[in-house]
Amino acid sequence: MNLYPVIQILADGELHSGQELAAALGVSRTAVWKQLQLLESDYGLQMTAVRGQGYQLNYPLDLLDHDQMMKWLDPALQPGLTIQLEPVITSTNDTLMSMPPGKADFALCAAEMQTAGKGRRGRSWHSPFASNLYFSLAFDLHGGGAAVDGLSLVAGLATAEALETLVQKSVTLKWPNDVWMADRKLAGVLVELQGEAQGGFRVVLGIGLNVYLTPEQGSVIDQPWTSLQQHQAVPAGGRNRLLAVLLNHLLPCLNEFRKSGFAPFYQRWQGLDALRDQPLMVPGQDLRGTGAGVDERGCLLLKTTDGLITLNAGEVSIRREQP
Amino acid sequence: MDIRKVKKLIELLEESDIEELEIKEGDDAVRISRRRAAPLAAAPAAPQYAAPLKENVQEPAQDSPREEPKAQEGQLVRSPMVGTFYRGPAPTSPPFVEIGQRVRNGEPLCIVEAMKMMNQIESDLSGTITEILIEDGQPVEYDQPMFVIV
Repeated sequence: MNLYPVIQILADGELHSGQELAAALGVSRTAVWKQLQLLESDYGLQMTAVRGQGYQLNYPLDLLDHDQMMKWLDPALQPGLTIQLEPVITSTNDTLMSMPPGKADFALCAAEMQTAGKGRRGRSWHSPFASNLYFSLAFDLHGGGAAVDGLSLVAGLATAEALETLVQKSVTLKWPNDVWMADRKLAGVLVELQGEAQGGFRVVLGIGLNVYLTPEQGSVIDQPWTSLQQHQAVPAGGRNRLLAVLLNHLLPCLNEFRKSGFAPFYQRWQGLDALRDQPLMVPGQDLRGTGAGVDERGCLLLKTTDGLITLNAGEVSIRREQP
Repeated sequence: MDIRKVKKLIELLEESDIEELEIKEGDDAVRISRRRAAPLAAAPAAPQYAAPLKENVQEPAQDSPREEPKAQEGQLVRSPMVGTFYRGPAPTSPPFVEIGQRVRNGEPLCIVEAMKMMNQIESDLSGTITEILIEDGQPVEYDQPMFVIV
């Protein structure tokens, strides 16, 4: 059963009668409770039943809404963008990967919740309902194999720049594309490519941004994380405005990237580099050094005792050693 | 037979739905056959034509001897970009393919990662994997062969 209509009713955090909710679901009043229990078990939404009066969520929800989002979206971008907002989806990247390219230049898929949100190399991206932003963009990229160089860095940079301007807090970038606030992960980017070097690529670019993520929800995440809420940095207009403002900066950046590659972003990226001059290590490899920025392709430069090393893939972490 | 006439016939076939065309003119004969894509191909293959055949040579285009040596050597699957080669979707999951395994057109073979951009490489033909040329987690160069498929 589609529970989204009752979630929309309950989203205000107010008390709603069983009768009203039953009508929205098209079930009898006695059957309502059973359905509402699914909100807790399947959607992780905590709710209180008030005897004789009805039901209410323990906290209000900031739901994604097409019309609200459009209020903030740059009108110039709208003709080139198809928008798909879903309550629950396996993964916004997977959804776009399985869709054939449409007429619009960019396809957007955003979801309230992902049941199989993806990170790098089989990791999951924790995606509780209506808590954060989970969205993906699909678009075509022409040119040879080098045409993708730096793309994932540009996505992280655009996200960081848009956030910094909107919420007036300092953000940094951890190569290749994690967005950090106060040295903890606030947003992540995962790019998936389809296609051959000769014929260009179909790009699906997924972004997860922690907005309201609570310590309880985040307890399953295996790395230091933060959310905008933890820094009192959720803007008026909530997630709809955040999504629109990110798109307002991201789409022009991606267009510029398609035209000019990583070059226009190279200096800007260096300016937000969280790993610069930090002691770094590459897990799984006996490689240690100091962060020395990125090269013009977007590869990480590592200053080692054997000279400068260029890293193209994999992960690095900051060595936190006792002096 | 005049080569221009053969060319004309090919064009004729191309514009039509005809699968195969055979013309006899005195001592000369030509048979032109449209090679269909494999049933599982994602995109329809471009029509291919057998060379004009001499009289009495009646081999179907699919078994053209010209194709055989190539098939024995196998086809190389090359990397479309510089990156790191992974045989499976995650470190804990089994590889997409093993040596000796039959793959169909469109099936995933590996992932090449560069700067957290994951490029899942799919087979563009059907056949058997006879060689895997790179080890899991190792760097791969642009255009470097990764698999041999026969």
